[in-house]
Order: sequence, then structure tokens, then C-alpha cells
Amino acid sequence: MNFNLQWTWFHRLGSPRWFYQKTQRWLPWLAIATLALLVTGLVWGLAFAPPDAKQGNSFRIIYLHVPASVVALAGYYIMAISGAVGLIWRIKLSFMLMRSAAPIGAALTFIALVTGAIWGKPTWGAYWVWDARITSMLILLFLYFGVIALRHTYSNNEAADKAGAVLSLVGMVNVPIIYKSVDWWQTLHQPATIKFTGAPSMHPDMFAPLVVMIIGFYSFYSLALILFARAEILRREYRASWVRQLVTNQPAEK
Amino acid sequence: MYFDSLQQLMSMNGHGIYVWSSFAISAVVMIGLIVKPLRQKQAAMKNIELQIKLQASKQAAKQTEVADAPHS
Repeated sequence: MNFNLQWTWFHRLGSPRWFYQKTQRWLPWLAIATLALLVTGLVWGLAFAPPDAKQGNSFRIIYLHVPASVVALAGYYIMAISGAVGLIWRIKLSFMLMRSAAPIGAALTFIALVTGAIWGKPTWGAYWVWDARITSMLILLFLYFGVIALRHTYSNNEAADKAGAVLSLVGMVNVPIIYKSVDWWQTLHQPATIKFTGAPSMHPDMFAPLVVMIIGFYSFYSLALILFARAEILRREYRASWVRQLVTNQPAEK
Repeated sequence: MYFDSLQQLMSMNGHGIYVWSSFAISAVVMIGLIVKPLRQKQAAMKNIELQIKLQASKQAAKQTEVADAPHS
């Protein structure tokens, strides 16, 4: 009996209606915080931080490349864990979050690859090399594409959810490989700038704006995830009476 | 500011093209990530509105049919 009581919060958390109504109030604040962080970090990083001794000003691409890569990888865990939670507890909202995470993760991985390629030209002399880090990142992009594509291959939403969750979980193997690729293989890619243990290999004047940008990208990620999830909820819960009420009460919402 | 002038900020000693093109591509993709779900939401709402209207008109047609039917 007690067990049931304790788990009610868990089920409320899994209710699309609860999520939709709660996030409504978060959105403006999250949007303001995201914009403020990204503008501050970019102006600081692109215009005020000192240039790198070896790479000159091209190093400034780091302020886009590293945050996009970090969040693209973290976003994969978010997608896979959402899929796992959906499979285990059969929570619909969890699958909706998984589906929403896929296009955002793909876009951020794309940014990481493109900015990396552009950065490669003045630094390595080539846009693209088949190096361990870059190749494993390209596989991450294809995994995200796979999860996006799976939704269109099934006419049944539930089957598509399950297939997407299984693919996300299997693909999770790739994430630690990406992290470790610069240590395991001889690569052109420089080793991690930020380490969990020990000081960052970067001057504080350069490092501070990078931290602002990483927090800004996480904030952006949450904002985009919530927006995608809200659209997904409306698309899939169109039969629910609360959704119908929402539409008839404010038909002119634009 | 590290740079002496706006022109220097744009050129970045020849690296400006790399830095600013990275910035432009990232900005376009990220704005897209905000605009796309907002459009999806609008489309979903329109869809639901249409369905509600369709249902209402169907029901109205049914009721008039019943009213017009000769009592037997």
C-alpha cells in the first residue's frame, strides 16, 4: 500500500499533461537565461579572450565546437536513458522526450563536425581526416539519424518508440569510445581541454568564456528539448480532453 | 576588447573567415532548432482545431437529420 503511495509522484512526472503545464511557466525564464549566457560567452570568447599562442585567432572556434560536442554527447545519454525508462516503466512521456532529443542531438553533432572541419583547415591544413575522434563522432550523427528515421518506418507509434529506444541503447556503446578516442588512438585531434581530474590545460582568461558557453549550450538544449516535447505531446495526445480544451480556449495562439 | 578595431575583429589576422563562418552555421542551425518545434506545435494545434470543427459539423448534420426525419 505504502509502496503505491510513494510512486504516485513518479507517475505524475510521467504525465504529458503535467509536463505541458509545468513547462509553460519555465519557458520564458529558460529562454532569457539561454540568450544571456550565449551572448555573454560569445562576445567574451570571440572579442575579448586572448588568442592562442600556436593557433592564433582560429582557436576561437573552440567556443562553439567544444560546447556543441559536449552537449551532443550528453544528449545521447539523455535520449538513451529516456528510451530505457520508457521501455522499463512504459511511460509515454519518456518516449516523447527520447524522440525530441534525437533531432537536437543530430543538429549539435552536425555543428560539432562542421566547426571542427572549418577549424581543421587553418590548423591541420585539411577539412577532414579519417581520425578516430572524427569518425566516431560521424557514427554518433548516423545513430541520431537512425533514431529519427525509425519513427517514420512504423505506422504504429508504440512499435516505433520501442525500436528507437533499443537503437539508442545499443548505440550508447559509441559514446565512451568517442570520449576515449583521443587517448586510445594516435590522432590529430588534440586531447581533451577539460578534464574531470586536474586543472584544465587552458589559461583562465580563455577558459572562463568556455565554461559560460558550455552552460549556455546546456541551457539551450533544455529549452529546445522542452519545445520539441511540447509539440510532440500535442501531436500524440490530440484525443485527450485537456488538449482539446487547450485548443478551443486559445485557438489564435501564434 | 582584444582587437583594436571592428575591422580587425572581422578579419582576425586572416582567421576571421573560419571563425565567423563557424559562428554563422551554428547560429542558423540553433535558430532552426527553436523555430521548428514552434511550427510543429502550431501545425498540431491547427490540426486539432480542424478535427474539432469537423466533429461539430458532423454532429450538427446528424441532429438536423434526426429533426427532419418524419415521425412514425
